[in-house]
Amino acid sequence: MSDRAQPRLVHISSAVVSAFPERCAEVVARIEAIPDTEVHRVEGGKIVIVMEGASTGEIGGRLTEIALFDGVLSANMVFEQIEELDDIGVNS
Amino acid sequence: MTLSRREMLKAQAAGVAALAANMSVPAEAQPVTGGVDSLQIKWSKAPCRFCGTGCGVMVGVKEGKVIATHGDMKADVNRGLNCIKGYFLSKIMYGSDRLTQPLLRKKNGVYAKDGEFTPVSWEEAFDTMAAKAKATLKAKGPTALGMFGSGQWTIFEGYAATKLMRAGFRSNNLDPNARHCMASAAYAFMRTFGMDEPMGCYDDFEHADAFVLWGSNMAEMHPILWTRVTDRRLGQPHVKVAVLSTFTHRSSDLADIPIVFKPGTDLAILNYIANHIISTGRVNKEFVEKHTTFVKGATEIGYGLRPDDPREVKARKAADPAATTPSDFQAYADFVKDYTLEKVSALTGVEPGFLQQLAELYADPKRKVVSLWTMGFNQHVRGVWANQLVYNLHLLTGKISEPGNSPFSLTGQPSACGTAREVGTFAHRLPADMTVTNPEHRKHTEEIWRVPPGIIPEKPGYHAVEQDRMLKDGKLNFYWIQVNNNLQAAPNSSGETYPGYRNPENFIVVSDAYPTVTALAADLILPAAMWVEKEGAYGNAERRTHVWHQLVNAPGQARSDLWQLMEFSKRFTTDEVWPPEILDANPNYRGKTLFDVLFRNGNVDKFALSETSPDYENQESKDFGFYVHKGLFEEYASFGRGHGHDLGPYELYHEVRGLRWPVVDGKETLWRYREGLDPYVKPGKGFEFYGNKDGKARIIAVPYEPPAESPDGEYDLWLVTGRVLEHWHSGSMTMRVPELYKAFPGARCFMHPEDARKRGLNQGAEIRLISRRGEMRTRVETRGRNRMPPGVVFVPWFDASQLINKTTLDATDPISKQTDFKKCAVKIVPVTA
Amino acid sequence: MRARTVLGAALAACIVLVFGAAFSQEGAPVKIVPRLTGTAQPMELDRVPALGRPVVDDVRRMRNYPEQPPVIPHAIDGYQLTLNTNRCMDCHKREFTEGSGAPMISVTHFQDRDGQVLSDVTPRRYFCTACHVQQTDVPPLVQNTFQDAKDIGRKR
Repeated sequence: MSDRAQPRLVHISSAVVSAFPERCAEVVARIEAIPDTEVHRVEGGKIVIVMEGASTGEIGGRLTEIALFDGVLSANMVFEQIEELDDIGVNS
Repeated sequence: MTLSRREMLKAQAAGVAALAANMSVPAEAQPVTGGVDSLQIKWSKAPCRFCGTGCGVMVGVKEGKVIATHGDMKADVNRGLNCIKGYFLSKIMYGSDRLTQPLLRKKNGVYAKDGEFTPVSWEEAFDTMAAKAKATLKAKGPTALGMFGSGQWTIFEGYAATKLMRAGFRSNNLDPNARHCMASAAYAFMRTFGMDEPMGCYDDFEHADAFVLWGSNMAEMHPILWTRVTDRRLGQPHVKVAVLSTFTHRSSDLADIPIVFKPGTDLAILNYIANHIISTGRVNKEFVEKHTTFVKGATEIGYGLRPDDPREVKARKAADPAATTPSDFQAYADFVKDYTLEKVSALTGVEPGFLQQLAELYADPKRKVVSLWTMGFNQHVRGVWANQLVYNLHLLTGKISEPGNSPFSLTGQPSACGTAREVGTFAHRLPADMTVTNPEHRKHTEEIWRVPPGIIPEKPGYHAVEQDRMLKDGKLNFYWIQVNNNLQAAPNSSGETYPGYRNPENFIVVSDAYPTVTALAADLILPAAMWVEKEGAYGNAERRTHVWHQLVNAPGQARSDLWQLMEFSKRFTTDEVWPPEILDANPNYRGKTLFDVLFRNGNVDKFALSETSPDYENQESKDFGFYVHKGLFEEYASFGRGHGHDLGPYELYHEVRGLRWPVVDGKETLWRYREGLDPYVKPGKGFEFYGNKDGKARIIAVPYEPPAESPDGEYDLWLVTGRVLEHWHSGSMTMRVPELYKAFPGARCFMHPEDARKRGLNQGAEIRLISRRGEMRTRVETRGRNRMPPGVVFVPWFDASQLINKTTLDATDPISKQTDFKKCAVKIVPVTA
Repeated sequence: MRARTVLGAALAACIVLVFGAAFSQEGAPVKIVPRLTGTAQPMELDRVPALGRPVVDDVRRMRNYPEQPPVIPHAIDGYQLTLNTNRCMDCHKREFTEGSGAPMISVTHFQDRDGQVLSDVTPRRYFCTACHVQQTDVPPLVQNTFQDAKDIGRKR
């Protein structure tokens, strides 16, 4: 393994947010305003988002926040990948 | 480039989420950009992961992932076919909740029995585990330490486990889940032939004129063998099929003689057939005189319940159930004379005409008969007797050890034969049919293992059901479970199993690939590599040893059970676990680790890492620095070579689709005990049952005795449990394959429509199924594949949310200690809430 | 590259629950999915969901890989599959497919144990349901991350 004491990590997570279809556009707009959070796809009230962050906790907190938005039915984490920062080129 | 990798990961994450939400993905019209190389798949052989049939499969791998599997055309067992489970092997490793790191119950940062599962390093996991094992050994000695293994262990894993437990920790408290599965068959082989496992092989199927299924639903449980029976039956119109069961199922669909009998009365049918053979003068007298002897078995032998149970107190011979006394043909003939057609028809509820037709299949000297059985016989409070009674029929008529004449005990698990029986992972056994109670056998084993004399304890350990009782009673305190889901599988689980796991005095470790019911009731969970994530070897029901390479890597920190056993052994020194008097007599063993004395003993570490195949990964060998599998195999094989259990050289097994032992001069043996077919039979003998010193097989006189529990006024239904085609055992693999899950998405209670109507239940109604031990909830199925007679219900046990074993009775065959999962009394009431 | 993939925990039941609770399962390393893990209290009784309804839309499902036996997209309740009758053949046998519109039994099924091609389905393939199963309309319990070969090994 690495001789560096603490490699810096980035967490990349995706989640599915379900919203009332009629309020979907409004929810998408609010999510897009959150830093390090992208909307990848929207279809019939279902919104696929991708979040980046330094820890699972940070991302989980953000998702909980989204879940509490008006018009949101649920927000569920689906996938999480942890990468060392150097590996994916943030420093390059 | 690196930035685009980030984008790729994000796109991948989004893709998985879209898939999970069942959202449409844009059509991909892109041509193959990588050229023909990107279409290439690396194909390798392996045995199927599931049942004891041992089908060969080809496994396709691309970029470290299994992407397809199909039946191996070159495998003699299945010649290109798989069952529905086999065809979906590709997906069993990819359930998204795979365990990828050790999990320890913790509270405030330290281990606590009532703590929450918390990810820990292997270092911390093994530290905690070793400390617990050492404390247990110090306080109570080796008998407080135990392990529950599996007929799904690879041969290497079972062999490493038996070494670690018996020679390392000096405990015989090692038993496999195969105890629940075929212990009765194994004991019956030893009692009849002095040697375990079938004399015939699957090639019998293409030679038989009749097939008799005794308590086996092969159409669902051994589907590929059933294709061979079907092929023979439909292709050769003179062939007959008889199916005996306590209810009608898919195998009955092929039956010329379908027989549904009252639970437990198969014993009487077997004795009736013997009576029919004798009374119609169709005994093969020459065979019987030359090759058999007669014995009478002890009767009223109890039901393997706790000793204070009134049924045990009452049983005259509960203390010595395996006793036999010498007898002769005349005494035997007189004994079975009592089993007349009229009497047996009345007792069993079977029409006399069917019984006669069945008896004639055996009696007719011109008809070659294959008898087949699995759990109906083995999970039976008189399972050893049932097995032996069917041998009686084949021995009386000389229909044995030749193509097409074969009493054939099928096995449930992929390596019940290879690992549980041949390696000897039962509480009383050593490799190659030897036992711990025999001083010569212990000495021989200690010599091969290169451990000091006196290391292996002589007293048999706790068997499966007794382990649960001892955990509950606080006599077994450190317990390691590998490759099985016993909290779902064990009988009377809420009364006898679960309390032991949560007993505060005990530390329970479970190694598994997925979070099972058992894992979640443990204190420490170790993530396991599975199937082709490791090099392995299985032994199927026809004595076929089949080896495979590691084809992909396990996810995260998951490691094979073999790696876990060997790595854990490094944490103990001989001074900590062996008695001082043995070390005083053998000072060169002092200060060594168990890893040193068991696995760096000059045998196991004999073959260099460079001997592993350059084309395949081999995680354990890389980690330990030598070819672990070959070393373990060759040391193990030295037990059987020259003793009728010969295995070929290890490399050979990587080339072929398995070989049936004894493998003598590179040639496998298809039929044992017959001159010309088995190299161990001396010239001029004709037949020789060389497992017994006198070369003869035993015919036993034993009666019908009733089950441990029968329905009465209150608990008015028989409960039978079992499996279904689509799910393997407790479902931990198959329930995670969407297609298999959707094919049979939950357990249910099959019952007769009239039984349902009487209780006011409609098809699909939710019910409570209650026994004297516990209750579970399920739903009513009055249609479908199993058609129940009135008074009998069937519930499969694959569903973790419907634990049918909370209701089953922990009665066992008193000889084999195998549980009877087929007969107990329950009642059913509607769910009113 | 050193990377860890945590396909986790959270994934399990989240997949199809549209009206599910909005938590990311922070800190819980094992998700309880009763059908797979048992209930949170292992010996507790659980309500049993209704038996799933069979998929009967007659829409062919894509195979995960070419060797996979196709699943059955129609009802087979009450179909006789016995020594004397095989209801599946009534539509899928070569001679009947023109009338039934059903897919013909694959030619792989015409080979006997020794690889000889016969003029009709080999007896060893007689019991269709050993390999072909019906599906019910229940959602999977957890995601399966099996990857289609077509999505692996593309050069970027």
